[in-house]
Amino acid sequence: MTPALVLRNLVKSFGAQSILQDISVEAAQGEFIALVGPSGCGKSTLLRIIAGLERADKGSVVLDGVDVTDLRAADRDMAMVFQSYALYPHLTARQNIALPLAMRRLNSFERLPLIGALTPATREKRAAIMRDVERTASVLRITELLDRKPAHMSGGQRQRVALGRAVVRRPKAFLMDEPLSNLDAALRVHTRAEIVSLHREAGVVTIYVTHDQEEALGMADRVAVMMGGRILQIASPEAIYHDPDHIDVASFIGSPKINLLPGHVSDGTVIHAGRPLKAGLGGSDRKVTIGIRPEHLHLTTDVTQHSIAVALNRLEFLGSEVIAHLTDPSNGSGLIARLQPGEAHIFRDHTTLQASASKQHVLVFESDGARARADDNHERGMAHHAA
Amino acid sequence: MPRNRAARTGVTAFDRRERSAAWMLCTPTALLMLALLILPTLAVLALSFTDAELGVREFAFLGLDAYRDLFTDRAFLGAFRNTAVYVALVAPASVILGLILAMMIEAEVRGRAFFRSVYFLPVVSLTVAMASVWQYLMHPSFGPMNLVLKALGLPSVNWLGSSDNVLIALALIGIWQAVGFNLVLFLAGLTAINRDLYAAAETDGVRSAWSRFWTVTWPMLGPTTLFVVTITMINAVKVFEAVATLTQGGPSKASEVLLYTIYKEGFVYLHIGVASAMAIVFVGVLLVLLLIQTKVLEKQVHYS
Repeated sequence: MTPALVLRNLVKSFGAQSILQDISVEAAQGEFIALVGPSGCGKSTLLRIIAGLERADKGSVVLDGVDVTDLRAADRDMAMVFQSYALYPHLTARQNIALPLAMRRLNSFERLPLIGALTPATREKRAAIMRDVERTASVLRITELLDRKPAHMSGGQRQRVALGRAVVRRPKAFLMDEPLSNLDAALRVHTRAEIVSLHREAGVVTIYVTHDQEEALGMADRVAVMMGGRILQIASPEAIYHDPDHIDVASFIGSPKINLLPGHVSDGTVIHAGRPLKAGLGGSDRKVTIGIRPEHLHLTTDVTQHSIAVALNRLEFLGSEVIAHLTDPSNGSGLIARLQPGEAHIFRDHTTLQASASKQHVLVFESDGARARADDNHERGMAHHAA
Repeated sequence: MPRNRAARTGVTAFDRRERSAAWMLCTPTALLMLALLILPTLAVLALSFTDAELGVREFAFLGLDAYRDLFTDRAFLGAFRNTAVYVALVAPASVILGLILAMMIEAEVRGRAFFRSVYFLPVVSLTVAMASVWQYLMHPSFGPMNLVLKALGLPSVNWLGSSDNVLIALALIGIWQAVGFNLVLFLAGLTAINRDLYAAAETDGVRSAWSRFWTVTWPMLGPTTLFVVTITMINAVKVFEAVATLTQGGPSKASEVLLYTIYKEGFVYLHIGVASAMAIVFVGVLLVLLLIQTKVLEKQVHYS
């Protein structure tokens, strides 16, 4: 099957400032891809290039096997949803949703307010548009809003109308630019689920830009982590989380953040504070950075062979979990462990604990940030299992 | 119920303090408003019902007859008509021209500040000082405007000297002055439009600049346009300097406008009563303009 959307070697710079450096992505039919990254990483620019609102300096965009690089946005048949909703404030919800249909199905004469409705053919076309609008509105459950103007709607209602305007004409791709950022937290979680189900129903490739890793992991089939104008990794949410390719991916994704410890490789074994944490790494002896996710940092009160002593500063009770704030005495830096509420009380009266991690949870990164994987293929297997 | 009364007196004491503070804070402004705005207006209103003349001790109370006289006075009606024609020429032309120029400047990043300043110059220049320049430009025999017409093979025009086109000539000057101001207001309005709307329109299939203008720019400029139209019309109704310096209402009263007629009645002929009645009508016209534009149109152009 032809991929729904292919981005080939996209390069973009504004003046001397490089925004995108050689971006290539292939999205399957009906796939939901989230572009996630810190602000200024180029994700919005990339989305605007896909939409045709911005031109890439180099590279191409192929939609359903057709090269659309030189087509303007109006001719690309993609629909976009904006963070600011970008509804036309002088039009009602009905007119907002109808506008993309009117633009495509009616000529400029037929669009005129009164004259256009004179011929039976035009009346029929207009009636068809209104039927489509009503159907979309009932799917989104905004029928009762149709005759309101955006000023008289809440943020969530506006975003639903904006979604309606995007889905009504059944485009070849949905592009969403942080559509939930202006909503409050509770509504955001709710609308997230709605967007996913809308996407499933439409079965259309969706590129979803967000700075919120939770959204990216929770909604997308694949997550592309962008930083500094590059895609550092594009993979399933599970692989992004458990098997990051780069230290920046590991530390951007996950909350609380991954623990990063200094270490070195000696004879293929990773060592931190004199303790071997993991064997099987190839290459010469060198300095590395060790990453351990908070939930993989195992705390005990008893000394074991591979554990290191850490100071317990504070236990933070968060209901479903307890966060332990620790200090690594070997370098004075902070560590965080995520505990089950049931096990936390054991540590309450201790100031010093033992921390350890099983070796498949020890992620090793070279000094340039790239992931160093153990030779035994065990890690790959783990990641696959997780995915 | 003693407790209740105590509570009540407590509240009134607080209330009294609040109230006296409020009065103290707004008294200076209220007094100034009264002395400088309300009393003079009331005085003019009172005078407008009389035939008072400056220097004449006694005067008669005419009541509404003063206004009946005014509206049968051919000179006043002529001034009324001339002002209306002038406004009808200046307001649409300077609003549309201001909008077009603003969109042209907005579309091109280069030289934006330069063009904005250039077009704004007429706004800050003094009409009285510029009058001599216009007199030269519009001179029937050696004025550059006629030289251009001649070069194009068109008949020359007696710009300020003919009763047929003196209003058009004055309107040209008025447009020249108003465009820069309108342009700056429109530029501010244009930059305030959310760029996402243009992006949304583009992805929605809005292709031509023409439909982009009618889908996004024009509706989004609604509040700005309302303000620009109001302020331009009010300024045009108040046309005075160009008339006073260039035509003195002539030739044969063809450029008598409201404010100039009021000025002549009041300060040349010293007919305070008549001038006051005219001034009241003048203020009435301005108020009606303001009311129509804010109340009637407001509903259609403000979205939030």
